[in-house]
Parts: sequence; C-alpha cells; structure tokens
Amino acid sequence: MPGVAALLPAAQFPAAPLPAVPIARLRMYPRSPGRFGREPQDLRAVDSAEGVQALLGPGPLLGVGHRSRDRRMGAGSMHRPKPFASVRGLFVWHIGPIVNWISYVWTLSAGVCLTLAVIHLVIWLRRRSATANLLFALAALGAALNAFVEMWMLKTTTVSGYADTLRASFVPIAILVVSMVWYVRNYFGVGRRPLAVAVTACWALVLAVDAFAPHSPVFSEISGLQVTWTPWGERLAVVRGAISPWHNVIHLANIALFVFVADAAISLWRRGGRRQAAWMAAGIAAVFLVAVLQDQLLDVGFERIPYMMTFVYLVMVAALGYPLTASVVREMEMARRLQASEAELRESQKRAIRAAAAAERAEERFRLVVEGASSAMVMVDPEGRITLVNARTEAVFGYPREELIGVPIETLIPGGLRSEEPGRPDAQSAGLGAGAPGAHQEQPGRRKNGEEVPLDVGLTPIRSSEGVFTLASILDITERKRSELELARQRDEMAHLSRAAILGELSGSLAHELNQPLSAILSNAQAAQRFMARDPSNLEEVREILKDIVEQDKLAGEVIRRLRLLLTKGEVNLQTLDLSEVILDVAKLVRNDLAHQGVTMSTDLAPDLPPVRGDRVQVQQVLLNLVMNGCDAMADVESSQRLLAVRAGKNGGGLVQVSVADRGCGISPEEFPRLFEPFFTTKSKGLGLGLAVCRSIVEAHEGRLWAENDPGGGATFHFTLPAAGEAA
Amino acid sequence: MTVPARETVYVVDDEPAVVKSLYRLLSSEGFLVETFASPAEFLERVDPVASGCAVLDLAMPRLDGLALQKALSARGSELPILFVTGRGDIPKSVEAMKMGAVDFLTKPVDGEKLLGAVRRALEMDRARRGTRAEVAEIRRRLSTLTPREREVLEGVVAGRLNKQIAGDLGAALKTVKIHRGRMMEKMGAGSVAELVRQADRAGIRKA
Repeated sequence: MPGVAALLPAAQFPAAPLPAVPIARLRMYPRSPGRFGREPQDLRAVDSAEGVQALLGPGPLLGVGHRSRDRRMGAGSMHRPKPFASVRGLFVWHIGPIVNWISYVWTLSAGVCLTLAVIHLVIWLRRRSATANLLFALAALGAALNAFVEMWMLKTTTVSGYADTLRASFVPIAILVVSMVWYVRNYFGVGRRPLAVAVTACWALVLAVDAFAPHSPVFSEISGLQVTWTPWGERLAVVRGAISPWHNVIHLANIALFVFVADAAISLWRRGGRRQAAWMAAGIAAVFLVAVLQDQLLDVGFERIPYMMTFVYLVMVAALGYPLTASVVREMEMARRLQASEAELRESQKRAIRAAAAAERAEERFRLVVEGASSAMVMVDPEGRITLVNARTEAVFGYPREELIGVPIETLIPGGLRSEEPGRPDAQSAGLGAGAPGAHQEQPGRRKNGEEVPLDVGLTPIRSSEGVFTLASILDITERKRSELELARQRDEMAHLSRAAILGELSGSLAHELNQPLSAILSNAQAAQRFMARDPSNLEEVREILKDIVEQDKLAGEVIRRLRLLLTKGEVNLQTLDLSEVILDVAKLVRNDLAHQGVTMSTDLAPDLPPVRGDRVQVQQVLLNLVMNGCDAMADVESSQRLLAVRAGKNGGGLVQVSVADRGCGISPEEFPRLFEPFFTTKSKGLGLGLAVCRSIVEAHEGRLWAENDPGGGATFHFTLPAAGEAA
Repeated sequence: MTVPARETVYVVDDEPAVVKSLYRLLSSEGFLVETFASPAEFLERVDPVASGCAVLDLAMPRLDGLALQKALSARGSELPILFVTGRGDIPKSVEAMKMGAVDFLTKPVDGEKLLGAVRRALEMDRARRGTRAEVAEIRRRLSTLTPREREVLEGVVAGRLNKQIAGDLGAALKTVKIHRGRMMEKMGAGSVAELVRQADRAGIRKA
C-alpha cells in the first residue's frame, strides 16, 4: 500500500550497500496457464524486487510499478510491445524505459531541453556568428543534463550513489546558469556585465567546491538516504545530512542571478520588449517560487517531494529561449519567404528574359513583315521624323534608307501625313489620335530626283511608351492613276462616238436645219441684188432684206454652234444648267427630223424647274438619244399617232425628273432586262450603245435612268438629275 | 370661172423666212407671187384652174410636197409644180418627176436657176393654156358646121378629092364644092393643111 514506507536504517556512509527494499505485498495471478507454471489460483505474496525477479524468471528488472486500484488491463494495453505481465495490483516491466511518473516527466523535460539544445547548436554550427544560439544551446544542454542527473538522483538506492549524483548535478546547473546569463546579455543586449561576471564567478566557486569538497557544496556530511513515497505512489530517494557552509555560495549565486535577470527584464521592459520581459520575469519568478517553496517544504519537514529544479530550469529555458526560438522560426519563415520570393524573382527574371526574347522575335518578325510588305512602309516618330523604312520605300522614292532615317517625313510627302478628319489640320502634332487607322487618302509625293509621284497613303497610329508613332503604308498609284485616266478617256471617247452616231442619224435633218437659213439668205441676197439693179433701186426693200439676212445668218450660226457643242470632245464640264433650255435646244435640233418622220413632239416643262448641275453636252446627248429612240419606236405607227411627249418637273428629294414618252409598241419583256446593256439593239442600223452610254452619263451625274411601259401603249424613259441647289 | 388676169407663182413652205426670201426673189423678177405657210392652206385657197406655177417645199410636216402634188392633181389642177428640197431625196424626187413635176431644185436655191425654172414652168403653163384655148375654138367652129359640112370636112381631112367626096356622099360635085367653101370659111382655115392641123388638134382626124 502506498504510504507504507520503510525508513532505511542509518548505514555507514558511504560503503554499506542499502538492503533490499520490501516493495509490497502483492497478489498476482498469471494471465495464461503455463506462463508462470502456476495455477491461476496460486496467489503469492511478493515483497521484494528479487522476489519478483524470481517469480518472473531471468531478465533485467528495470522498474517496478504499483497500482492503487484493480484493473485488469491497465498499462499493459498501453504498452503493447512488451507487456510482461498483467498483474492485479502490480505490474512489472522486464525491459523498456523507466516509466513511472518521474521517469516520464523528467525524461520528457530532458528531451525537450535536449531538442532545443540540438536545434540551436546546429544553428550555431551553421552560423558561427550566432553566439546567442550557442549560449542558449549550452543552457538547454545544461537543463537537459540536469534533468537526467536529478532523475538519477531520485532513483538512487545507495547513499554513495546519491552523493555522487548530487555532486555531478552541480555541473549541469553551472553550465545552465552561466550560459543563460551570458545568453541574456548577448541576445537581448540587457543585463549588467558586473552581475553576469558575479554569477559566473559564484558558479565557478561552487564547482570548485564541488570538485574538492568531501561530499558536495550542500552537505558537509550525509547521514543517510531516505527512501520515500510520493503521495501518488512513487518511490524516491532523498538524502539527509548536515548542510555545508558552502551552501551559501549557491544562495549568493542565485541572488546574483536573480538581480541580473530582474535588471535585464526591467531594461527590456523599458526598451519596449514587454513580452520578452514578461517571459523573463516569469522564468525568474518560477525559479524563486519553486526554490523558496522547496526550501520551505523541506524546512517544515514535508520531505516527500523530490528536487524539482528540472521544471524550474525547463520553464526558464523555455521562457528565455522562446524569443530566440521564435526568432529562429521567424528567420526560417523569412528564409522560406525569401526563398519563395527569390524563386519568384528568378521566375520573373526568366519570364522577363523570355518576354524580351519574344519581344525581340516579335520585333524581328515585325521588321520582316514591314520589309517584305508590297507597299512602302514608313514609320514616323511623334516629332515627324522617319524612324523606319522598308525596301519598297527605297524603290518608290529612290532614296537609300540611310538617307531617310531621321529625316522629316515632308522630304517624301511634302504635304506631311494628314488625317482626313476635319478640324485636325495637323494630325502629326495631334499624334493622329483619333484618325481612323488605315484611312487612306491620295497625296502627292516627291522622289529623290524631284519627280512628283501620286501616292495612296494609309496611316496607322502606333502607341508606344515614347509617344504615338505613325506607320504610313504608301502605295505608288501612278499606274492606277494612268489607268483611271485611260478609263475616263475611253468613256469620253465612247460618249463622243455615241454622239457622233446620233449626229450621223440626224445629219439629213441637220442639213435641212442649216439649209433653211442658208437658202433664205441666198434668196434674199439675190433678191436684193435685183432690187439694187433696178432703176430706181428699191432701197427700202433692200434694207429689209439685209436685216433678214443678218437674222438668218445668226440662225445658221446657232445651228452650227449646237452641232459643234454636240461634237466637242472636250472634258466633262459641270455647270449649272437650265433643263428647260436644254430640252428646247434639243427640240430645235431634232425638229426637222421629227417633221420628216411625221412625229409631233410636245414639251411640258414645269415653270418652277430648278437648275441642275451637269454637263450640257452630255445631258443633251441623253435627251437626244431618248427622243430619237422614241421616234424610231413609232415608225410603224400611224402618223397622226406619232406623238412624243417630253416632260420635266421636280421629283421629291432634290431631284429633277425628265420623262420622254412615246406612243410606240413599248418594250417587250425579253428586251426589258437587256435594255441598258451595251451592244443590245433592236434597230437594224444601231450600234446598241446609246442607252448604255446614257445610263453611264446619268449615273456619273448621280442620277438614275430607267424605263417603263405605259399602260396605254408606248414606253416612257425617265431620268433624274440632282438639283443644283442640293448638290452645292 | 374666174381666171386671174395674170399668171401667179404660188410658193408653199413651212419656213417663213424661206417663204419671204422666195417671195422677194420672185417678185423682184416681176412675177405675181402668192405665199402659203402650209400645204393645207394652199389646197384650201388655190383655184384649180389657176394659171401660173407652184413652188413647193418637199419636206413639210403633216402633208409633204408629194402628197400635196397628189392632192392637187386629184382636184384637176394642172399647175406646173417645182419642188424645192433641203435634201437630195432621190426616191422622192423620182416619184415627183413621174407625177409631172416640172423641176426639182435643192436648197439653197440659186436665184437664177429658180427664176429660170419658174419662167419655164410659166411658159409650159402658158403653152398648156394656149393649146387648150385653140382646141376649144376649133371645137366651137366644128360645132357650127352642118352635118353635111362636117362630112365634107372629114373627107377633106382624109385627103379625098371633091369628086370622090361627091361620090361618097352621093351628092353633086357642085354641091360638095359649095359645102366645102362654107366649111373652110366656118373653120377659118385658109388651106387644107391648116384644116388638117385643126382636125388633128381636135382629135377628129381619122387614121
């Protein structure tokens, strides 16, 4: 039973071995038959370790435990690897660690301290400048050693063994305290040097005493070893003897340590390291609390507690080592972060290199594209200077590229690069900002030899960090211009031919038209001669005749003028035209022809007819064509029905509409779709160009030409022209 | 029947200036000229038996020269017609000549040519009108003859001798001579040759 304690008889110290200690009266029964070779009922009292040994057979007996309550499967189930026996009230381990309460806790403490020591030792080994780590490692090592020594002490069964252990125990404590003091100074930068030196000196003295004193600095004489049991049933040994006067050196060292640490904590507190100071103060408080408590307990004779400085030191090591360990952890964390950020940096460097390479490749490709472009490409910087040209540029302008780089763009395009946008006269300075990319316009350029060259310039703004560059894509449109001119020339030629064809058809009628005044003139003149020859000459009559001659001559001149107008091969001359006048002119031209064909033409011209914008000759040509087509269409109609109506009036939308209606047989459905095709004709002599030319003329005037059949027979051709007011 | 005292030149042209100049030209020669601005007007106002000639424009609206020519002859007019044209329209001119056009002139017309043509036309007209008057006189004279005298005339014109005529008629030679004398006096013929010519004109001579 716990509490049953045997005070060892005072033996001769140190030689006499301690007698075997009766442990307990134990009731035990084996778990399985044959294990112990006994029947289950065979209960036996074992009262010594030897007895247990004898009962269990050979093997090292390391520890004996005691259970206060009956439990079938107690620790055995917790220690599956080697449950030697499951004994009611007693359990025994044949091998394995000392696993009683003290064994656990002291070992654990020692382990913790040892771990810390190793960690910081490794840190110091890797970084020799980290003296704080070395000092802390030493302190932790001291604490760990102390734990072992203390445990050993508690487990001692002989007085001499105890004394040896006690002596040994001062070495770790000295290491611990001295290292701790210097650690505090080194790491926290607080604590007074004299105090630290004092602590060190005290402990040096203690160690010296320890080494040379008969027993230890504590006891001058050991009376015996008291084996006692803790209230929770642990066996422990405590030595008894006379206290040595050297004991005071230890007290002195402790006081110096206390003052040093208190001073350091205060300094820390003042410096703002409140948490560290609190930890330090806690450590100190723990040391003193326990030390004072133990002293008191021992003094009052409550002696059944072991030395528990281990915990105190553990707390101290933990308290003082926390910041260092935390800083190590922090450092590790920072190192990790640093590594991560380094990795990131490396990655981003790689990326940057890759991007740079890609940019270089892209630029290379851009250069290749520009170089290989079929049009001349010129890059212009925000100041209007050329920064890049391609081979085509050299070919178009005749400059080698070395002569172009850095030169103002006006060298090539005297007008500069202009955006088409109104209100932005100088897009160059405006950075071409809102200019539609790819907007093209025609501009003259200048070659090296001074020759002017028509260009089509497309501008694309390119935004970069250096401002807005302009990429001009330039096409030499000399060929295009030439072909455009050629085309226009051909069109004019065609129109002229068509007019000439009309005049050919009209020639008889035109001859008649000219003949009328000419013949009147001739007759008048000859009559005048006769009147003059008379005696007396009829001068009055002659005067009248001369007046008529002049008039007729003017008429003839008018006919010739109209003819010449129609035959002119000049350029298209857009002017403001009075359509009524044009229509009446045409009517005069064809009057005789119509009379000859028995066609009566009526004109219905709106009085408010607005002027139109157009080329007189071409509009006349269209009218002539339509009128003559109308006449031809009525060739087979009875002459009284050969009526041709020309109407002109306003059509909505700023247009003037002219309609020419005949009373012919109309347009057949087969002819209708091909009406305006070139070389389509229903006439035996026609070229089939008239209507095609008419349509192209009207469309060039931004008008429309179309035909429709009238319900009452016949066809009407309409065309529209924009009124001059709208066009302007 | 009102026959104009003088022969008239009728000018038809749709061109007033031309009409006017022709009027001047023709009147400067002393012709009596009447002008018409359109064929219709001319048809309406002209006397079918008028003497003189017509100068027509071939190309006129509605009713051209040829149509006018046809319309005139349909009315029994025998006016000689001169065509004036602005264009050398050969088929039309051929047709016009076939239908009895006197001349075909192209504009501008030379004054002398025109006057000459007009003069010739007038002569033709005059001649035509002269022939017609002579025949009418012969016919009138013939109508004054007795049947016996007419029979004698036919015999004389046929070239038979008095004796043969007396035999044909079963009359005495003397009687035939008296009839012949009266007949010659009535016919105003001084000789047999003249009588024969008159008979030829009147179309009574028998082959």
